[in-house]
Amino acid sequence: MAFRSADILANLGPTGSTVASVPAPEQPQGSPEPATPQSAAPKLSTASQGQGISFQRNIFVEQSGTGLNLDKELKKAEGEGKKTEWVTMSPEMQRQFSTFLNNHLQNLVSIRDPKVLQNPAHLHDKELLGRLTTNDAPDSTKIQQFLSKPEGWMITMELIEHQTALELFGRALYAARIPPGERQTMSDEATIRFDIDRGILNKFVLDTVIPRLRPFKSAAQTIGLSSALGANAGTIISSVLGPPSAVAQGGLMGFGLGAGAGLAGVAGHKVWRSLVEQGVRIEIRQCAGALQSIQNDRQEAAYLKALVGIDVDDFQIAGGNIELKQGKSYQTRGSDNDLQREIMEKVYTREEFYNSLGIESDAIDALPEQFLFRFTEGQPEQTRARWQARVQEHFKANKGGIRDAGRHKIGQPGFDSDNLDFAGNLKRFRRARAGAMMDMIQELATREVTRTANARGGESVKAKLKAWSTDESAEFQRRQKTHTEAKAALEGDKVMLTGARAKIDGYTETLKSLTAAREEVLIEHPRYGLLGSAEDYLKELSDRLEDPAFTNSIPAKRTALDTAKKADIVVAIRALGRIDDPEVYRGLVRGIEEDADKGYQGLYERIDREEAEIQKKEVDFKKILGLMHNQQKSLGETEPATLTLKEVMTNMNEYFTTFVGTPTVPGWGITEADLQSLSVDELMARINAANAANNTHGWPEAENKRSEHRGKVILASIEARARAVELADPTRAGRLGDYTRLTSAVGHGMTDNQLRLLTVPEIMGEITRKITVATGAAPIAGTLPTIAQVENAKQEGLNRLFVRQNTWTSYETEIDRRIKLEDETLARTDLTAEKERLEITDEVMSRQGQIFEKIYSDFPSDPQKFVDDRPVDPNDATLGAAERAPFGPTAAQLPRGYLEIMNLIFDYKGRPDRNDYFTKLLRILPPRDLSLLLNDSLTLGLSAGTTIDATLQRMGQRISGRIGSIEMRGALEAVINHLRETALAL
Amino acid sequence: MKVTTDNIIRFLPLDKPFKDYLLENFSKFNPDQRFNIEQLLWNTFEALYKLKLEEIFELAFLRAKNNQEKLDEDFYKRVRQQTDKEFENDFLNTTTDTELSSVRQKLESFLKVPN
Repeated sequence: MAFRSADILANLGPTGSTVASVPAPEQPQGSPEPATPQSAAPKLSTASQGQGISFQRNIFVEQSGTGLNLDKELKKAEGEGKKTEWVTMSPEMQRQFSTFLNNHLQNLVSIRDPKVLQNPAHLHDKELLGRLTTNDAPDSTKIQQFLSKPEGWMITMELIEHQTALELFGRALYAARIPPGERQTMSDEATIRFDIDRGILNKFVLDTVIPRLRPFKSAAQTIGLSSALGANAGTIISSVLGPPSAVAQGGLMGFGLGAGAGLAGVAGHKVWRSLVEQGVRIEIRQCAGALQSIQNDRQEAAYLKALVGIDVDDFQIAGGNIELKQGKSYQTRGSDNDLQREIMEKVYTREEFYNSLGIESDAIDALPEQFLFRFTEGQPEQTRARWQARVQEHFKANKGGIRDAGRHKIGQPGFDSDNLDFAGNLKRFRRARAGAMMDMIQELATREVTRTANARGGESVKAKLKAWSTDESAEFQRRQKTHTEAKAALEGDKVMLTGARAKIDGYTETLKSLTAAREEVLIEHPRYGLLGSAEDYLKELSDRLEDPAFTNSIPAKRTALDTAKKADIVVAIRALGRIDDPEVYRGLVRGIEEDADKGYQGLYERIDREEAEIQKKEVDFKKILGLMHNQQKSLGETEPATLTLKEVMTNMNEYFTTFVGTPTVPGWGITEADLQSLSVDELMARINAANAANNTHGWPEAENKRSEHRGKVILASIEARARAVELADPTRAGRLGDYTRLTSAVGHGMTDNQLRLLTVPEIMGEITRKITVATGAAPIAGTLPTIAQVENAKQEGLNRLFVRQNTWTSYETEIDRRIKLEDETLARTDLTAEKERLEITDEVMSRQGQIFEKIYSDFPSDPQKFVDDRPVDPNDATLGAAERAPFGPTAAQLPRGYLEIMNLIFDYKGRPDRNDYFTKLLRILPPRDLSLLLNDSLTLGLSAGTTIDATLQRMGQRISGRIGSIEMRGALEAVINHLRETALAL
Repeated sequence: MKVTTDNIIRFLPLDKPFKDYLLENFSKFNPDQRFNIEQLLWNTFEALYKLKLEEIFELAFLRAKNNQEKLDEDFYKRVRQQTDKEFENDFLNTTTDTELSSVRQKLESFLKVPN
């Protein structure tokens, strides 16, 4: 079965190999009038004007690089007197953007699987959900507020482009404007970069230089089917179109504007008429590469399925056709005509939006991706829209954004523009756009925070300084209070943790003692180890003490000795011979017997000692046996210590899962990494945010001090850290399978406690007992685990406990460390440095006008002085010690330009306390901070880790032409604002 | 003429009574008002300069297209020099046909900030 995109296309226009052009319809009544620019004068802020909403145009469009026809622009400027600086978004367009956002958010809210949005490609969606919804529903007030800001329009426009492209690709379609937008900026290798008005310059180069260098591929060459696809794109796209009959419904036709009754809604779009009048058509074509780009991108595939119900895996490319796999059905929301209208409305809305910004239609493609489909165009559309420029910055077309099938970048040897990595290029473009959107959302958030900070009710540096001066103790107490409270919370955590750990320690100490006793008893009673049973061992001891029949028993030994002694006496008496005198005889016999007693005494004593030893062994063994029995009993399944441990371990796991979530149950927006690295208070803030978004999650900030909440966060953190330790253990994988086998319900159902508590033979016995009870017979061969498997499982059972216990202890140590830090902070709470900053900032702010004037008077006359990166002379007697060697005699000297710029801002050189003051300045605006501020405000393009020397050097390179008084004043204004914001944040 | 905050007030195309009010009372504004107004005035002044630069730039390109201007490495420097010159003339003459109503509105909003 052919993919339904073919059916969609069939409904869109007549069959055939060319696109039908359709006469323009009459403008429907009541259609919105084009937005009228409000003012020719340059304006510095946004304002709501009339029924539309107006913004300063250069917020949206790069003014420096027009890239448009110069003659036309100049004529237009002459005709209008001045260039239009304001743009107005019509009420109709506001409605369209609001509706789009509302629909998109509704779709996002309905996504059940949280993982769909937990990937870098959709962070922007997560952010928008957080910003523009309330109680899991789009919030029209928030949407309106969002669209009251230019960033809101730009982000929404990118989102419209993104979603339109995704929905097209998921249906194996792409859209192209024929003819494409004009391209007047040359690709990078032909672009001359002056960092100034590049568009105009490139236009000039295009008109005058390029024709002499190489023929320029005209966009006009791309008309007609075979050529419309172009030599490059054709190899990709035509291969999936198949023979006309096979995919006549789709592949070989695009659709013309307004074709078919289904496009009645689109035909009402005012852009539609304008495009038809210009002879422009929008084609929608089938394209396997587009489908593949989603099929190969599993995150996008999951997103598309969850968002609009398109499962790209239901389709396959076979014999040049895109087919529905057997047994699969294809359904989307609404009819095909609805879909066509939705897509076209988005394309036209896009065009209308760009037109509203004064970007003419001849600069616009159907979608920004069009150049990837039609590589003959070679470069993206050139609208000069700032958000498009940001996408290109992320995409880096010439540095790996565009690759061929062999992964070669443009310009690399072997790059084959006829065999592009089509799906990969589209994916990279999507990621680039998602990145640009995220950037813009974050910047918007930052600006809002800054605006809020700046707008704090009448608070100024001077007011703050005054308040501190009159009542420093209040501020001091406020500072102390923060740390006192933090310390108290930590101490509370410590008490709770120590109390809970004492219970666990009871279990583990007993377990350790039991284990030690088991080892000791084997050393002291090796026969017990050999016999394997305490009963047998005790019987053997008893037999050795009492049973005359037992080999080598004490009675047997005594009997044997008695016999031997008697025999010796007999032999000695016989050796006496005949003795007649009975008195003498008796005396001699008595002597023999006494000698025998003496001779055997040692041997009897040895037996006595042996007897005593055995008796002692018996007593000792019984004692240790009783001890082990008691210990084992105290760790039984239903004993308090075991139940406590089990509860704690269960809670740790449960809280962890609640916060992080499972594949089926969403968490509270906290990751495992968060739990491992963030403090309790940082995690609490996340949980409060989750609660604000969904009150079934977490708790509000007011409940953060409740010990049960803190306990949950701490236990989840310990569990997360323990898991990290386990993951890092390379031996664990070898034990885990056996552990699972012995503990799972479908395995042998042993508890963790049994594994820890019982000996290996006892575990084997328990498993044998279970099998016997369950089956009514002794275990058959192969059903019992091996000794090695039991030992593995037992080791893992012990390991799980000890890892958590160790992690717990580490956590307590960390709390101790943080309590100590709070103590140190409390001890050194001192407002001197802050007051110093407030005073100096106040001085700078009050001198701002003089600073600006000084830049205009001093900078042009000797700019080199301010960018001098040579180190100061350490022997220069005109400098103070702090200027000559601020970081010690061995450290590098400051560059001279830094001192000059600092003097420009702070006017410190003429001060009587010059040296001390400069020491303060080094703390308030150290070289690194100044470097970052200059780098940022002068767009020097240095990395974040740049130094003041490198910064001055780069400024020096740009001092001729690019950095003048205007730029320098702007940079120092940024420095002053930074000082002000830092002071207000104290 | 030296570029100062006062001179910028004189130069900017604001209606005369308001301009006079600003000149007369600037030093009496509270520090926060002065701070904000200074930034607005200087930024507006420079925005006008940039408009002039763009105008001169486009004209220079038009001349370059007709081979009346060399497109060499000093091109931008010359454009800026010419802009500086013409802007300075404008500054000296304090003439411009642009009405900065939005700047005035913003300035007024700063002046409404309570002390």
